[in-house]
Formats: sequence, C-alpha cells, structure tokens
Amino acid sequence: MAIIVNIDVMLARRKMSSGELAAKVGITPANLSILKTGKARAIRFTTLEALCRALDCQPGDILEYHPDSH
Amino acid sequence: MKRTTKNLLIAVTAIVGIICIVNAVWLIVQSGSVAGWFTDYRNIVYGDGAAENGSKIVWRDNVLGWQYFIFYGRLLFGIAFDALLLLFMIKSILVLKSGAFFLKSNTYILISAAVCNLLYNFCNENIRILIYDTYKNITDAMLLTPLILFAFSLIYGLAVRVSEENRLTI
Repeated sequence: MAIIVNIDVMLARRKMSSGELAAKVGITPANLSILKTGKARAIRFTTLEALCRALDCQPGDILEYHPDSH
Repeated sequence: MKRTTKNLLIAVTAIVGIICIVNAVWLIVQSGSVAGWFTDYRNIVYGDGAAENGSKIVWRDNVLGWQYFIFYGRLLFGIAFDALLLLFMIKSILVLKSGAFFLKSNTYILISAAVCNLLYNFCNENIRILIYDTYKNITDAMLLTPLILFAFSLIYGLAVRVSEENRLTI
C-alpha cells in the first residue's frame, strides 16, 4: 500500500498509549493495530476526524504517500 | 445479525442436515440392494422407470469400466455432495459469532459441490447402463444445477472480497 499511516510518531509526541487512543477514537485496539501495520484497505472520514481530534494533529501528520512502496 | 434471521438460518441448516443424511443413507441402501451387497430386497429400484421391480445389476465385460464408474460414482459423488452442502451450512452458522458472514473456504466448498453434483447427475442419468445394454447420455438437465451452483460460488466469492474490504475499512 502506497499510503503509510504514521500513528506511532504522533502517539510518541502526545505521550499516549495505543489503548488510550483506541478508546478515544472509538475503535477496537485490533482495528487500530490494522491501521498502524498498514493492513487497512480504507479509512472512513469519521475515523480520520476522530484520530486527528484525539492526537490534535492534521491528516497530513498521520498520512504519508510513498509511491514506491506498493 | 437479527435474532430471527439467525434462528431461521439454524432451522434451515437443521432441515438441510436431516435431508442430506437421509439422502446419503438412502443412496447406500439403494446401491447396496441393487448390487446385492447386504440385502436381497431388490424391490428398491433406481428411480422411476430406470428398472423393473426386482432388477439387479448386470455386469457386462464390454462396458465394465463405465458400469463401475456410474455405480460407485453415483454413490460416492452423491454422498460427497450431501456432505459438502451440510459442511457449507454448518460453517456459515459457526462463523456468525465472529461477525463475519462470508468465508473464503466456503467458495471452494461450493465449487467442489458443483463438480460433485455434475458427476452425480451424469451417473444418475446413465443408471440404465447397469441393467440394460444402452448408450451413454449427456442431457441439459444434468448441467443446470451444477451451473447454478457454480454461478452462486462466483457471486459468493465476490461477496467474500467485498466483506473483507469492509472489514479492513477502519
């Protein structure tokens, strides 16, 4: 997948655990892990909005495009 | 999934299970009777008009290979078809607890069931070769249900992909 989800970087900056973030966003830790490990096929805008609100960041801070990594 | 839909699915699976088991047992009894294995009760005949009452298999050297294929094929493919259908229904119910509805392995079960059904239909349509000196037959009737099953397996495969896509949408 060419889109990389950099949640770990933001988690470290905000000193938050994955479990806390999952609870704040309203998704299961398993689903958060799917996002972090790049196995997700799509992300809903509502989930992206909740992530940005919880991590106090912009979508560009957690989503990155790498054209070489398919 | 709604409770009523789930209960209905369980009830249908139970009915399918009973039908499949009865059908499989009947295939064994019918085949065994006509072949003279464990009973001499030859009044159990193959279908309507396939043989007169009291007929027994007449093994002929010139078509022995075909006769073996049709006799054992009808029995084995028939039982396999029943078993695969039952397996498909049971696996569909068991997977409901995990929230998934479509299993990739069920697609292969459906394709296998279509193949078994085709071969069973071929053997069933040509059952007369066991008793009478007759020719082999391919009819449109023997192709219909396998083709429908195969088409359903393709649609089911699409549903598996869509379901997986949905599951991996966070």
